[in-house]
Amino acid sequence: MVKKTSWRYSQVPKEYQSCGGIDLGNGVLIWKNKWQPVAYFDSVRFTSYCDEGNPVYSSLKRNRLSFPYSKALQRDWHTFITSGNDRGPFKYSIYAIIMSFTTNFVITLFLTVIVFITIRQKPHRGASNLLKLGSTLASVNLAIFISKALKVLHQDHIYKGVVSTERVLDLLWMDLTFTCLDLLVVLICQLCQVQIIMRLFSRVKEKRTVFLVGVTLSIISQVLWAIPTLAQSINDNFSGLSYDADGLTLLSPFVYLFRIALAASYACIICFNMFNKRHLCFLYQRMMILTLLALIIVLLQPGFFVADVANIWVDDLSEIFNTTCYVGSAVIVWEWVDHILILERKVQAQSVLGRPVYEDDQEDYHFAKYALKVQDAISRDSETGEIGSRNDTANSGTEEQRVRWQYGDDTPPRDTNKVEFNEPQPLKNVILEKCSRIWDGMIYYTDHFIVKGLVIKTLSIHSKSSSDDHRKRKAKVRRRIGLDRPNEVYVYATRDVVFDSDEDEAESNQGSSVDEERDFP
Amino acid sequence: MPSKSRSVIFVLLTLALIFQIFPTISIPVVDRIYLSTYNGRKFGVFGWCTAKSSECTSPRIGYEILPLNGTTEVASLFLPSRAKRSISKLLIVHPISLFFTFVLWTLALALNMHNFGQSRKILAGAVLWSLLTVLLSLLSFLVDILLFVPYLAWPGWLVLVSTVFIAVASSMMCIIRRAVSLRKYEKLRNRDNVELVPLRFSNVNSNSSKPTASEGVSDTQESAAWQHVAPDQPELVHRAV
Repeated sequence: MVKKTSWRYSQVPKEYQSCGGIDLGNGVLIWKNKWQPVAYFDSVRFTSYCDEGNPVYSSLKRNRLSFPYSKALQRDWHTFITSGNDRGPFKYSIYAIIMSFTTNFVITLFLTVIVFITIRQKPHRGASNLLKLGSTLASVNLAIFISKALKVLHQDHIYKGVVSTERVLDLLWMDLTFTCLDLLVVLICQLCQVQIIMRLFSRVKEKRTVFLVGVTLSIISQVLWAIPTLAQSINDNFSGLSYDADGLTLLSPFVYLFRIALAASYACIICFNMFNKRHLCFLYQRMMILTLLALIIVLLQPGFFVADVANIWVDDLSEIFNTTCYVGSAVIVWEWVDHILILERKVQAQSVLGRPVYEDDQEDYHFAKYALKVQDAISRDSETGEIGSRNDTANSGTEEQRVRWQYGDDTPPRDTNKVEFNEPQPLKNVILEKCSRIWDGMIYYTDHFIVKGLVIKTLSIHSKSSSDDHRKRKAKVRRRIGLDRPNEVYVYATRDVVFDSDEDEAESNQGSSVDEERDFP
Repeated sequence: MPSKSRSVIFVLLTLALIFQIFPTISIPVVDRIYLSTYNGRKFGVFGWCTAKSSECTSPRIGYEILPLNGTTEVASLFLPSRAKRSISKLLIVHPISLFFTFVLWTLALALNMHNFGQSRKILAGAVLWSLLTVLLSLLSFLVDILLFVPYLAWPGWLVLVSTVFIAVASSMMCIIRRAVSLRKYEKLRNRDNVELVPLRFSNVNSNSSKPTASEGVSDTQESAAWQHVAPDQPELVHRAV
């Protein structure tokens, strides 16, 4: 048997009498073959069929004519299922294992269907596609695994008459297809979790930090996980390769704990946000159910760690549970965050102040750039209609260009009169330039995800039943966020409001009463 | 004078640091502190001792099985959780976590000083460092759980408390970073009181645009940019605060 938990001592198997052989004595008449149906033996020794040193017992349908089991065998079987070993009790049997496999498969399939039906494409197109890919891969992976497991069990039943849990667990740890697809699925789900956390933060700089830290940790955890897992799988599948078991024994539990630590951190962040936005979480019944579901699913993985520490059975199946936990914690929490953000925006739309704008948004002139982009598109449209005003538009074009340079949208033109020499730059400058380029590239890639979040296009669009409805909603949203009046871009700043004092008010009242007296003598 | 929240962060991190010191100095460094006691043995980060005679192994990373006091050790019964002896090398995360917490504590100390407390870069660095510290501290606790559950003693549980304290301090640092960033932004921008600026690009005519000179404009480049795109009838109103 191949066990992934190579860092744990497996329990020493008991020695069963029926597996070692039972002396039945002499004088026994048994059927030997058709030419000699009955024979006399001096000394008969019976050895029962055992599975990895453990007794087996037929679970097939029995009737009156079936041979009875020997008392020694029945006694061994009773000891096997009642003593607290790793394989005997019912929870370690094939039924419980098949049930957990199929349940996980059904849950993952269900989550995949949910992803395709309810998760919106906009405004996070890349992340929703990633989520769809991850859940589909997980479903396919589990479907392949279950069909392989059933095939193995079918063959065992035909050739041995035994349905063994060991073979299925061996398949779980040794199958390279399952391992590779699982690696991919978990990485995708972890990236989706990073996206979810990014959505929970409003400031651009915080989103960048979450993205960089989250992606780095996800990749590190998956690379570290792949080393012992793939090494063991490859060693089991291709004999003759060198395999440093001792070195990998230490890495395997470290990665396991690292993953648990990441999952616990993710659960903490989600729980903290749930607590912060509790007035939205329990606004109505459906939201309450979704919140509870999200809470349970994010706590499942740390919960499984506790269960694993207490019970090795869970550890053997951890990979199957892991896949479902990761897909669930990405899909359901994504849906929860979607609902929370929609509710939050609704509250903001109804409030006097509207959506909060942070200093991070203003620092990189996002709003100015956005206004210029809108204006650019509109002026381009108007330019095509106006033929006679080419000079004017050219002038205004240069003005707009200058503004764009000012805000870093385009690169400014080079000074043509400047003489440049090809002097070799000092190494320090070259390194700094390269580093700043890498940094700029990373920030650009991060902003690719973030800018969409800044310009929210949709507020409460969930179903796309008809194009008319969609258009109406789009027009409504455009009107609400001011896109129907692109020429009127306002910049506000805080200002002290000075209220008139009571005396002034009294004076003005007196003044107005005098006026009234004058008007109505 | 340090603000109240910075003092709270400092206190939390001081407690976290003290709580992390306990498991690190456990047996064989200090006899009375141990992570777990099981089967007549007391376990620490750098070794183990016998419970009765207090005979200890030499301090090192990872436990070594020695027949101390004439006893024989069975490998599978050595640790409470049936984990292999080599897994005890993972206890190295305890001193690493302590080092990270100590650095974070010095950063918190620096944040209480006026010179460093207002630096956004130091604050951002402290927040990032605190994330790593939380992760390592949590990892130390998980290692203890994995090796010693259900016989984990109080120094092991102190690591969990320490993790929670560091996480709270990290969140508070994040809030302080936001506040400092906002304060700096307001200091930069609030010199002018721009009331209302409608931009009409389609009416822009460079010949007729009149620059609206204003007093006390802090960012000259920015104001120049706005002046270029101002409409015929200037509606840009600057008021000195």
